[in-house]
Amino acid sequence: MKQDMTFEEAMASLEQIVQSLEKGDVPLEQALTQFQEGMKLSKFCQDTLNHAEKTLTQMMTEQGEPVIFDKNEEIE
Amino acid sequence: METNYLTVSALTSYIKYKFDADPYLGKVFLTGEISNFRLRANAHQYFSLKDDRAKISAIMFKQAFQKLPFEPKEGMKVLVVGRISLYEPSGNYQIYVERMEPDGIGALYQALAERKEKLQKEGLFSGPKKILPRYPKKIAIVTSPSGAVIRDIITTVKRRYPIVQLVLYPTVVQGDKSASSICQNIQRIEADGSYDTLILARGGGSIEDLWPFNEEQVARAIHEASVPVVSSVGHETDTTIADLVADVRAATPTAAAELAVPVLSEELQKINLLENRLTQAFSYQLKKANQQLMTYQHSYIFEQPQRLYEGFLVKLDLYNQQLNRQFSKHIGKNKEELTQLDRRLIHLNPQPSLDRQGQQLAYLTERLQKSMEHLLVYQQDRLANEIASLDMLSPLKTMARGYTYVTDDKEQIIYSVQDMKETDTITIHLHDGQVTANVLQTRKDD
Repeated sequence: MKQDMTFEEAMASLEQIVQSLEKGDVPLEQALTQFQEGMKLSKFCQDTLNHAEKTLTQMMTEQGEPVIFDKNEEIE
Repeated sequence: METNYLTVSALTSYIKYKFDADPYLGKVFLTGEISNFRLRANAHQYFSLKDDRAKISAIMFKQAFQKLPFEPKEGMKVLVVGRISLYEPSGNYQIYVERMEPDGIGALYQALAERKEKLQKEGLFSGPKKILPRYPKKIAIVTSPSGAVIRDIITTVKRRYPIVQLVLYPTVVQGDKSASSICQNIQRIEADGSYDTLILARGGGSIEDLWPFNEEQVARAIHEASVPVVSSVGHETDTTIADLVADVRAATPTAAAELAVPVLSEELQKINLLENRLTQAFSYQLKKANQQLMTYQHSYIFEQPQRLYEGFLVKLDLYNQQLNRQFSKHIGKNKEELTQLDRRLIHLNPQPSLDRQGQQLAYLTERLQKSMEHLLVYQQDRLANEIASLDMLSPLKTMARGYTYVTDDKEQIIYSVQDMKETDTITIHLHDGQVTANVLQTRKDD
């Protein structure tokens, strides 16, 4: 797995590996490598989603300063 | 004369007939102001049309209403085309509206149509649409900070994909300053460069309300943006130019949010599914390989390795037998030959011959010895005789009778006078000694 892989790349890579393994024409050693790589990718993707913090919506001020946007305050 | 009383139904039926049969009321062009309008979603619309002094009930069927390119509003001046009829159960007459358009803003529609055509020709609507990233990290929202639009977007995004960062760019979405506010914010977002997606949204409104989203500068700002733009401006029926230029168009702000982000739980499920498939595919391969291995392991080669060389053993035996047979046969033949040769050899044994020859040899030896002895005796006698004869013939005896012989200084016998000359030294041999003399004179006999 590449160091600076994006989530999208990791997902695409994971899907490709699964498809390749499901075809079943990969030599066993290569299959093992792919399997390990796939498990790494899967963990990376899950971690990325699970560990991403829930964010608060921001509002960009005229001065380009992001401030927390409280929708309940603004609405009503 | 008896009075005939009509039933209400009969009367109403008659009045309805009057309405329906009237050539003028079949198609009425009417102008008025909308009143008592309350939008009923996905249904027929009931409202009134009025002016200063009068009012008429109006109904617009769902099919006709859905085709409206604008949203009717309370107080809006409209031009309608319809027919007048009577609704018998309530006894109300009303106008059944077939077409409706805002009064006085036909010019705006005209302008919009022209501008759409122009930008279409320029290719702003058909250009390659950018694909929204599946997993955005940061989304910019260009809309008003107040109202249901931003609330719907935030609520939807939080529900589906709470890990994305939403940044609201408070935007004026109505009035003169709106178009420049929209453009300015799109440019700020572009300049920031950290956004994956841009949502441009506004709630429903009249064509005038939505007009900023039809402005050319807004269209160009959207077209030039490198960030993919999702638009949701007005109701689904109001297609603004902004919607046409945007990469994706959503029917509502909620739909825009749904298009912009995936559902986190579903994505996690997808990953889990992929992981399961991965594990299954791999274990299947492993199982397959294992089975193959088992098949190989259970092969007779490993189970009964002796079978590998059984064939060779049999062959070896066969060859051994053949070899033995051939060998014995060969030996037998040679033995026979040998016996024969032996027999012949015995026949040819030289011993008896040798014995005979030995006897012969002994006999001959004996005879030889005897003969030799005889011969010796005989020869000795002869020798003695000869010696005696020889003695008789000896020159010494001759010399004793006075004969001499002469030799030169080289001990060579001199036979002739010619071989000597005066003063030569010669030796004269007598029977009892020698005399050395010098030649005084030579004289050859004639």
